[in-house]
Amino acid sequence: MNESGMVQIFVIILAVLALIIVLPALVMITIPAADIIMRIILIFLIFTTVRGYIGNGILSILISGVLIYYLVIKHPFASAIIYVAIFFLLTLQVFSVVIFGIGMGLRKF
Amino acid sequence: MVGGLLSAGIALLSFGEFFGDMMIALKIFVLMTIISFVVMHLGKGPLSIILIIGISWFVLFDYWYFFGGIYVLMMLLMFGVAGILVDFFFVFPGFMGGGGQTQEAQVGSTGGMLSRMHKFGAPGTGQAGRPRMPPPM
Repeated sequence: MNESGMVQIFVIILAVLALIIVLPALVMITIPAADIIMRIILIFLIFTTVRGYIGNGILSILISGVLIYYLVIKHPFASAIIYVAIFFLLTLQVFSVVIFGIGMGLRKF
Repeated sequence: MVGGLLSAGIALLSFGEFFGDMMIALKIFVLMTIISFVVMHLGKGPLSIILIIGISWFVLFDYWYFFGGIYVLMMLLMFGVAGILVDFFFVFPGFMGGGGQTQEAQVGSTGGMLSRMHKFGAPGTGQAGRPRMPPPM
């Protein structure tokens, strides 16, 4: 399998995917404004999701508050990573583009 | 030595706390999924409340380690992880190795059908009954 350098390319692809996944946390650490903006986006997302599940009401606000405490205030970096990696990049099929781009780009070497 | 053990213990404790918090958030999402499912099918009433309590007890407390994993798997599949795995393990190695096919198969939408038709002398290609052509380079 490794005759054409497949293992090395797999490792490179995995490293690039890991870097892309960790990138939101790095940006949040280095740029404080990005941290605030990402937290606001997460709050909007959580409230919209909860309201979509159980509708408007007090219960919705309570559950949103609990989730915002755990996900936005207590673990913002992990939540940002999960949001960007799963909701954003995975939905838009960006990982497929990355896999094909790296693979086809390294194929000539 | 002691410092290393202490830092490892702190890291383990903080990971345990993180894991517990994420588990609580996941349980809340599963609870909302159950509520939404039951209300969508039965509406708001006493029967739906009883069903929500029963299903929630069964899913969130009795068999959580089974249903939690299934819920995470369902969410990942819903967001298209299967496509990534197929790209990574099946499609991409086929592209890399060429799959024994021609350049047309690698870049064309016909998947090398034309070259295979030429190779096996299919009717309509002007090759039927003739000796087989050498494989295209």
